[in-house]
Amino acid sequence: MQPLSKNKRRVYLVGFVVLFFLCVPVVLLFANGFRFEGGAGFVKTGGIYISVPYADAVVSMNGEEVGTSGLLKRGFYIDDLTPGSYVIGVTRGGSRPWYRTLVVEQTLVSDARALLIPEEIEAILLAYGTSTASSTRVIPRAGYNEYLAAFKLPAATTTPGFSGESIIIEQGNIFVRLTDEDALPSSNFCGRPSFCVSEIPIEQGKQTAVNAAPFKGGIVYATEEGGIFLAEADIRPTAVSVALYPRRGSEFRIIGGKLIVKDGKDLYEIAGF
Amino acid sequence: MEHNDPYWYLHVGRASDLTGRDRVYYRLFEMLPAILSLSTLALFAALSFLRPVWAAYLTIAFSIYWLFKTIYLSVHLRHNYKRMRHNMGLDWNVRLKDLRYKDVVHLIIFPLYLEDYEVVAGSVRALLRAAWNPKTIAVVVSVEARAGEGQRAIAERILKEFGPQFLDFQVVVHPANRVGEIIGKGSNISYAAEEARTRILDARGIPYERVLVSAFDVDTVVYTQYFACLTWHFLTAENPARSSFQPVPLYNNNIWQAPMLSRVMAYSSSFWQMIQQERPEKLATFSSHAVPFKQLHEAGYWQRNVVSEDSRIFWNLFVRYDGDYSVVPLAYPVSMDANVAPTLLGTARNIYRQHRRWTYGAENIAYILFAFMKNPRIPFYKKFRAAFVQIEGFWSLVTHPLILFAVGWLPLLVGGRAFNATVLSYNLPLVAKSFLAAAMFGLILSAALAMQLLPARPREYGRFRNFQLMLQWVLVPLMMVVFSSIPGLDAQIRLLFGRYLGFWVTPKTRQASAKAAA
Repeated sequence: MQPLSKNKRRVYLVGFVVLFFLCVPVVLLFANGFRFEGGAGFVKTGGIYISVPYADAVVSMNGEEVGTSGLLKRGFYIDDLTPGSYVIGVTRGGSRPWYRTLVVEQTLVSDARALLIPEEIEAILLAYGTSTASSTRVIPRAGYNEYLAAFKLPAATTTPGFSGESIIIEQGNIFVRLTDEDALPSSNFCGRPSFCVSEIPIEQGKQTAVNAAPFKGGIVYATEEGGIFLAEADIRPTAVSVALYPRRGSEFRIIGGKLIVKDGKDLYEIAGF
Repeated sequence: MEHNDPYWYLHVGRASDLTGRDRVYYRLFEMLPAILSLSTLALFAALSFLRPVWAAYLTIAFSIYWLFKTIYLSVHLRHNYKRMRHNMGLDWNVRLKDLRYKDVVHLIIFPLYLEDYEVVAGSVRALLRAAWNPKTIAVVVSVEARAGEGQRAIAERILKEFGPQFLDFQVVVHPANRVGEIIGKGSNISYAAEEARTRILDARGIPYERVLVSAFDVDTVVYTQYFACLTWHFLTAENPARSSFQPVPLYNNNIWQAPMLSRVMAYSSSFWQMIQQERPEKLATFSSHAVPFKQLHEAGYWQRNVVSEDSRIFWNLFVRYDGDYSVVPLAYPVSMDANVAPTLLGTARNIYRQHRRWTYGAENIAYILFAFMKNPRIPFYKKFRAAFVQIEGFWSLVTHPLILFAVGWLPLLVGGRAFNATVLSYNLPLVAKSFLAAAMFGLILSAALAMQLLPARPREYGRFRNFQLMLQWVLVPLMMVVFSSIPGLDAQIRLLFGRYLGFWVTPKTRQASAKAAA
């Protein structure tokens, strides 16, 4: 039996080299979002990427289901989208539905992280010692005192947010602002991928904000008049905002990842997340 | 510097063997492989930061290239497998009938260091089992003096038990600390070859041109038709006096005892050699090989001062005969030991060291470039092709797996938001992974071939072992990086900084005899 002949090898080699040079431009165009459409020729498409924090959430686009999140699948990449606006919905049992209108531009990807807020948010009264009330949570005295001590310190007017951002309270209004001018903004600052702002207003109404901090993917804030709220920092419509403890004069602190509210002399833990 | 011998540079081992401008050139050539590999990786990393889009294009193009390269090489592998199977099924003695094969004398050299009796005996027994008249075979067991009297006693025992059945059998003791030598196989077998010349060939009046030397590792077990097949190729070669002969190294002696890690690397090495057998213009001698004695003698035997004596002897001969020298692939196997240590960690360490030694073959690049510079009689196109094949080979060995499985993904991590917001950044992993996954289908072919090449399963292993042998191929991407790229880079960096590697003998811890292999 003879070795592979030189001619045969040459044919294979040339064949594969030709295939390679044919494949590379096609694949690079594809990877860049170019798609061929009959009549229109090559069109530049964009995409949407949605990340979901929990399993069992149904992701839809313009009312059509895209998929359901699972233990390992928390991200959904939807490609081949022609430029335009798309309404993304994320629904999950026990959580409020989340919707966002995302603008798709050619060769760019709009991304968003769904903020799933529980339908039932409960304020549980904290106590130490013994209690028989079912709506009360008993904690050790030392822990209770630690919570109380946290409220004796003044709330900050500027709090570091996510990378390169700060939560700022100015004249009773709250903003999430890019503090690093050189840093490129994350997508929540961008109404469309190619147009971004450097500031997102969180609370800019008649109420006077006194405290704000990042919590569970959103911004929790307190106003003198309305109590405590959770809002999304996103310039795109329609950012979520819900009342967590709508009692005038209440304050909050985030201690050990827990949202603790002080209303008069009582302490509450906001549960449900 | 004036030199009377036109091939005075034939046995240069490293830059420090030279003086003046020659030394500078050689040193630069030694540095070249690492410079190329490191600059490629650095360039890729820099692009990932500065021009992530370009880096992403390169990664995608590279993964496409990898797929086609895998298919291209798989075609060669499959053909060589079929050819090897065909050759193993032939009775080569019948094919030799009309040739003057009885004149050919086979000289077998086994270098012995710390291996035990059973390893050597297994290899010598296989010579006797071969379908070839042992009275035309001369055997030399060359013991390292520094291994001690115990090893010499093993060699003497082998001589006593098997010696009379061969044409001649010599035990040679290679003295330690000879000037101009480094510790290793090259210095041992060179000494043995010269001893064999005086003690066997000259003593018996055997003409050198009738002698074929098989330089074996001590664990090399021949299959029954090895000598007939080798002789046929020798007698029918286009230019036998300008040819070395390369069998396919299988690592079947202890393959059932070897852990998964070791099996994958063993078969990967065999498969690479099988692919090269179908591309003889890229083939250099490797591990166990055969070479005509006359030419070996004229070239001054294997180099005593290098680690990669097995491939270097080909380049010595190529330069000595002004480019008129080639390797004839036999497409017929010999069996050796897979790397097995008492513990898995030990095996991993040994595999790393063994592959670092093999990839230290990059030391040949400096030799080739320097020798080509000094030898104007080698045609330019031969010089160019040989240098390109060697440089590209060692460059791709180190850089390709690292780019495909590590550096190529850097743009996703360091490309910044502007890049991460592009469709390209989302498609990069999807597209590249698809091509790499398609290329991995080549592994299914590898797994299937490996199963066919296995010796019969020993009784102590159940069918589950077969399943493991299929499953082991998923380790290939990891192994390519850890036991191929990284030791390769390690070897090249050593050459870059002049921290030359010494010869490291792969320990043979096999206990059972090598019967199973044949």
